[in-house]
Amino acid sequence: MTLLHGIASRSDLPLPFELVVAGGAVVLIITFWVALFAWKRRKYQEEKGKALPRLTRFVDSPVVSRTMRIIAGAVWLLMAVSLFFGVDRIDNPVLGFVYVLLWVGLVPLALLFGDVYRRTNPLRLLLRFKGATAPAPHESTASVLPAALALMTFLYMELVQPGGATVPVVRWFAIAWVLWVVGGALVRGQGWIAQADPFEGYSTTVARMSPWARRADRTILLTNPLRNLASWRAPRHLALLTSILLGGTLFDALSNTAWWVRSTQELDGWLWPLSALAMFGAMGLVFGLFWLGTRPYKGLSMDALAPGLVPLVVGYAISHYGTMLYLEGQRTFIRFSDPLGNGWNLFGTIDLAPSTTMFMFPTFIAVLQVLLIVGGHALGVLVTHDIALRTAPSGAAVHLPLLSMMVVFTMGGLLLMFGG
Amino acid sequence: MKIMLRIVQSLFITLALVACGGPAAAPPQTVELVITDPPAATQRIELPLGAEVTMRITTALKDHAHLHGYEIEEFTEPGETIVWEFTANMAGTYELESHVTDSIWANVIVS
Repeated sequence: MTLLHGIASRSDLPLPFELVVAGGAVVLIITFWVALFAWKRRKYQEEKGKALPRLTRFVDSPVVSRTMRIIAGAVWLLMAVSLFFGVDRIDNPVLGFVYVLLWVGLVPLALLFGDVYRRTNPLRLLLRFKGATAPAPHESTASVLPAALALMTFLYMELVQPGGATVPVVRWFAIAWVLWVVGGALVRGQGWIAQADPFEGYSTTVARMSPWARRADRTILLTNPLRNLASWRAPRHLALLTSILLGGTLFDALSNTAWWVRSTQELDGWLWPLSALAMFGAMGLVFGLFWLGTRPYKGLSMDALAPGLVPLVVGYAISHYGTMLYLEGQRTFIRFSDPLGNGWNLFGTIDLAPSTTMFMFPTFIAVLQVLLIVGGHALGVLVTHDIALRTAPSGAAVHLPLLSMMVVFTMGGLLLMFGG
Repeated sequence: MKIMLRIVQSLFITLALVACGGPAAAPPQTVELVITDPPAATQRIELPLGAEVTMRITTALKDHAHLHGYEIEEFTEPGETIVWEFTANMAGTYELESHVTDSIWANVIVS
């Protein structure tokens, strides 16, 4: 995307045609296999797993909690300094921090280690006196609509807003974010943070696909990620939140295609409204298709089925932004040494060059990208099917609309990355 | 479940086999770029992965050339040629652009 091209200094090669075809074929096989022959009874309705009381005691101990919060708090503080006192240049580390380490890094972090973000959320540290650092409630189905709107605003800043990769613009959006979360929490209590913080909302959602769950007594469970996701009593408006994330990524892939770049390069001032329209259109399209696909299920809301979209969100995010996290993540860490852009070398890293070994193997990257998209699709279909079986009988007919809708998403994603 | 695992597994193995093998040695490449005022439409420059590249850029204006990703930048004087030598060791698409006019001179595709 041109607006972000300062940060995304490179883009991956388009996916080779054979891989797209192979991936598409696997998607169809998996989908129809699930619809016709997969388990006929739900398997994953209850949260179960291996209880790990010792790990729980360790993870929840004050020493670990404090260490994590101090490190996270220090990083956020350093970045706040860069944001308000640093120079407006693309090598200001706050830009890489927001768009790469935070936004992209959050996904693998939550996937591997669970909801680390909630425990180190800087706004929760700020609101500690309001009890914001208390452990999360076991289950909450409170609406995540405020977080969904905030995520939409973030994606707008990243992909549409002219100057989205400049420090002054990020500064205004950061102020709005703090006011939105902190202001709301002061008025409505700390429960607002879980409902409204875009990064916590995103992280909590992805963490449901991690192998880590919590029992009602807060003991950590090692569990099957599919069970973790399918047993989620999803919060209200989760369908909207996941559609926004998926739509945002789809729009980003679309705006990277040669076709989009060619057809919009003469637009100048009109590019911004057109991009905004296309991005909201992509989000609306995902939401609308999902709505259509979930209609045949009586007694199951869109939100109850929305956990099935999470693997798609994760697969696309890592597939599409993984190499950016690899390269620009390293660059951002290196730039932490010079937060104000005046030649400091706080951590002695400024002269390091990022490793680029991975880019010697473009076929490997392409294969990984296809596997992530196809794998996300496969897991998404399995989770959706398991949830759907709770009300609908087995048999293909009732499940076909939703499964075909997911095939459309996956094929669309593969084609967009092929057209790059 | 087992059938599906097997399908995914076999796909993985096939693709992993295809994916193995690093970049082969590529012949050296020389790229000649003349930037006019106003600049022409964005060009497409294709380079084989692993090639030693010599890039010669001449601009019509006092300019600032920047090859993204490889992070090579240099100021230019009108009519004088700058020469960059680097190894195209990262696959992907990289923008070669002016930091003065913000126009994208070329997409450099290393594959």
